[in-house]
Amino acid sequence: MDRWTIGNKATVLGYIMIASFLAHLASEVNPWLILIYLLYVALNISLLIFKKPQFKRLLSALSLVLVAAGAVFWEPLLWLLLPMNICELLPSSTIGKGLGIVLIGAGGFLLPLELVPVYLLSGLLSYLLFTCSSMLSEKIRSLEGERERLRADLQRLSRSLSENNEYIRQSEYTIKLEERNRLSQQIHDDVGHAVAGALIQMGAARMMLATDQEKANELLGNAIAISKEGLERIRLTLKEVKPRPEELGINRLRLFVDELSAKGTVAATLTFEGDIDAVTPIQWKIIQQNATEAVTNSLKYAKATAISIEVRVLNKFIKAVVEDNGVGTAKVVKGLGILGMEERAASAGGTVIVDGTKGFRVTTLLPHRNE
Amino acid sequence: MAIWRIALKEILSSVRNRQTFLFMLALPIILMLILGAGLSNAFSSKHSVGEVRLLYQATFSENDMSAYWDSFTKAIGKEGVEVVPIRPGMDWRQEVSSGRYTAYATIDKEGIAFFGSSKNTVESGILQGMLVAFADRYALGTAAFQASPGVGTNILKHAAESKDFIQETTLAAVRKPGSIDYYAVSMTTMIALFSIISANYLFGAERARKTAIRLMAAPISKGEILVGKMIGNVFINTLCVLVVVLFSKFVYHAYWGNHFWLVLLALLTEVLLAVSLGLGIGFLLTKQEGSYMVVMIFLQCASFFGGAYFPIENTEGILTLLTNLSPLRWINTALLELIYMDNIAAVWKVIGLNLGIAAVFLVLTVISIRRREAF
Amino acid sequence: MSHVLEIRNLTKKFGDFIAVDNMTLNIGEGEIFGFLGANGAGKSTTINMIASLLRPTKGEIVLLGKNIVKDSKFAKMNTGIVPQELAIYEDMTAYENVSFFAGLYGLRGAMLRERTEEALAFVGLGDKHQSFPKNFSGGMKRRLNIACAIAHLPKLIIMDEPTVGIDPQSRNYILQSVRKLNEMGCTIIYTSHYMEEVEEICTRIAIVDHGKIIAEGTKEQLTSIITDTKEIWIGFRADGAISIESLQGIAGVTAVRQEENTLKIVSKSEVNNLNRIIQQLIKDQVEIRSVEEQAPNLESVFLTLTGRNLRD
Repeated sequence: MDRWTIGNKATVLGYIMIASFLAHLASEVNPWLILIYLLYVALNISLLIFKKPQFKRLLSALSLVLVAAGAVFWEPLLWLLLPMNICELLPSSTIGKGLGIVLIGAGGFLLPLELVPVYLLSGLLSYLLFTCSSMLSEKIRSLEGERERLRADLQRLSRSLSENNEYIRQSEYTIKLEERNRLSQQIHDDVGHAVAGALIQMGAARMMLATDQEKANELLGNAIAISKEGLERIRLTLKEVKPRPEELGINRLRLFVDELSAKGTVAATLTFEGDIDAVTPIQWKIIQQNATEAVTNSLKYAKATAISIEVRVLNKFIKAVVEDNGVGTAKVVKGLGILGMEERAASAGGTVIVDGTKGFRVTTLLPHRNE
Repeated sequence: MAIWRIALKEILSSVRNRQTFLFMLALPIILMLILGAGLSNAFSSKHSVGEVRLLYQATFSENDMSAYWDSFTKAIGKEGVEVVPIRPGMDWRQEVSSGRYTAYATIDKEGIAFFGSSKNTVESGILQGMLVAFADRYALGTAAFQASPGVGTNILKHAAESKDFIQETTLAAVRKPGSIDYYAVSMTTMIALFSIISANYLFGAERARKTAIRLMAAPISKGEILVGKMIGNVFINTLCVLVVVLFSKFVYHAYWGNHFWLVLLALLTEVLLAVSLGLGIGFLLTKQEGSYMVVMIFLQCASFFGGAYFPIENTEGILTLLTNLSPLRWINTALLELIYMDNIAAVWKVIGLNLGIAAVFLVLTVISIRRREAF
Repeated sequence: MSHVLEIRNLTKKFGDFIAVDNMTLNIGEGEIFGFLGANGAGKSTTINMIASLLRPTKGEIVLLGKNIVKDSKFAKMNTGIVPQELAIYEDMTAYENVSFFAGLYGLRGAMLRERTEEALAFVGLGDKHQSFPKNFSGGMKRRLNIACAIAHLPKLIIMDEPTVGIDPQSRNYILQSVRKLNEMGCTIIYTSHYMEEVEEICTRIAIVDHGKIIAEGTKEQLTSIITDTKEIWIGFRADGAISIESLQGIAGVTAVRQEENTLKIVSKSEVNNLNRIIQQLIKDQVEIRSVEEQAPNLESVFLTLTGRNLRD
């Protein structure tokens, strides 16, 4: 839009300069007029530099005064520059626009007669150009804003989607692992013993079958009882396979730390203190996600060799700290990562503190359940 | 109300600050005395006219004219003007520019072409005047001659022999400033410009003493603070200038002309200019040391080129530009013209210029204050 | 309790740096509210915004029901600030200093004289009207600094480290003045990095770090964040049997263990049972050598929550 306005001004100014030069071909060029031209150019170019609308208005008003003064004292053709400054000065509302055309039209009555047609032509064309370009640039701006918003939305959604996927994958995997462990353990401990015991009894029964039928019968009865018990155990084991959530939480974190250490770039440690049972699954999820985010950041930026994760259950708060021994930063600039952590913590009524004075340290503070 | 409190506080602080007072009062008064006494020779109001030598080349078509020319040269010869015809091989430009001759003239039927020396302006001015008078009378004479030969001859004859060429060219001697008069003006304007220093420090001091915090926290607007401080500062600086003017007028008997009030008005606008300049610089360069340096360098340059220490005349090229950039230059020139030539228009122009620049810097200051959160 | 000051979602950015981050806080009438935080935690920025010295980037501050940006005159009239650094004119007398600043608040004439004299008397400079601050001791200057902020009788007084670098005597005087001002109905915001001062005079405290309020409440509420227990260590002479069971019966006591000549009793911190414990020990004919109470203080709360020392 700015470019179109300046182009418009340049065109009209060029016309004025040529017309004025041709009209006074014989006489010497008036130095005042040149000064006016230069000042006009300077003012209207500096108009582009300032961002604040007040300054723009001020400069435009100055340019208006300059043009008017120049027109009154030296060169009436300068009136042609007036409409553009009027357009800029008026507010961009409908009333302002209406006022603009009235003012430009009214200007026509004040001018010397021979100037009126060309004034109206250039004034109205300028007006149309200005209104059109301001309308269009307004539209572009709003579209752009919308697009930006949509893009941010999309980004946020896809991020949370991928995070959720990750979480699902992780928890599936851990649950499976846990389940398998538990099953094999349980089967080994209970069912295995029972089956082995039954087998021995049955073997003995077969050997006894010829010689001592009564004893064999007893042994078989034993085997049947043991097998029955084993079957019951299997049923029980299968019922109990769902692991306790807090085990899942701290174990998941432990798993994460082990994986991190296994990669070999950093030494990762996990410590916890206090009554871990008091942490709810939702809080575990937040702690886990924030820890992942913080560790990702540390690996990316901090050049750290050691990362420690600490979970501490205090009387009223749960504190989870991820700390590295890397370069840190004097001033923490909030990126998407930190904002995400803050959002998550805030959803459970907590806060996140990011400190960069001695390596990075991300502290997540969560209150016990939502009191 | 707050404005007056701040203004009063500003005045009180300034009065208590002995250094400022010494600086603003004693410095100009002492410098006036030293420079005025020491450089009094440079300001002799009498100008002795040196040797006046005219080099000319004459090609006369009519004998009459050559006769009149001869009698003219004789007449002015008696007044001490040596008239020498150019010899072949002489380069008149070199002769005139080297100062051997005051001016060069060619006389033919087209008229008289005159080339004066830029070195000896007074002498070449005298010569020019004589030649103009001669040419006028000759023209009159020839015109009359065509109408009535008798009268014409008479006029011409009379014209050539007349001795009043010189009286035509001498101006009534105007009053010229003596050294003390000159320094009274230049020191006063310099001290008025020195208001920049205190104005520059107006807000710097509040920042340094942290009292800016209290001012900002008080229920008064930034505008009130600015106006209050400006009033106080302008008042105290104007007071200093006034004391200096009165001291020079009544103790040194410096001549301040017939438009004393206008002089004071011009000085007041200069103080305004200096104060807003100081404020502006103080806000554009917030670092106090940097700001102070800029102000001091500007002041010294402005004082030097503005003719505060000795009058600067006949400058060329870049020097002209520099001298014209110094506010002291405009103000001194205008004041001297007002005092010695009663040229009131020049002073009004300077007053306008002062106020204009002051307004520009005030606007800059206001913009800068509005943009800033604290002072 | 009506709120003198309400801070909602207050944010201040300096470029990319976020000095105050979405802070929400209410301060009630008659409180002495302490801000506790390390240097650069955002205390001063918050205070400066409350005193209208800085403009908030986001959020709002409401003083006595009015937004301080919209009703800036009202807010400024009702606020007094004691800056961290001395903000007085060295070339003006104590009286002139107080009178000048009070005058900016619209006081004049007899009223101005009276208030100026009151303020000077209040800080104990009643006999120094005509002295110049350059002849004052550090403590006297600090007191004058306070006098300049209170002559217009503000409802809210903000004190930013008012006791930095002065002798203990002046410090006590200032702390007493703070209490007296509070009794006269002023609400006070107090910052200090002397933990003891804050613990001593503040009715409520906010722990600030990286521009956020991490926790707020009374001293007891804050310490209970970390733990609700305290340990009482009792040293005794090592002869005779000690009946641990009788101690465990005392209300509040959760655990007792003996380590050589010391009894370590863990107890709920909100129960005041030291007397009963000692009575029981005396009844059991234990010879007590020393008693020590290990309760968490604000310093340890701060350290635990932020991982930093206050004076980092």
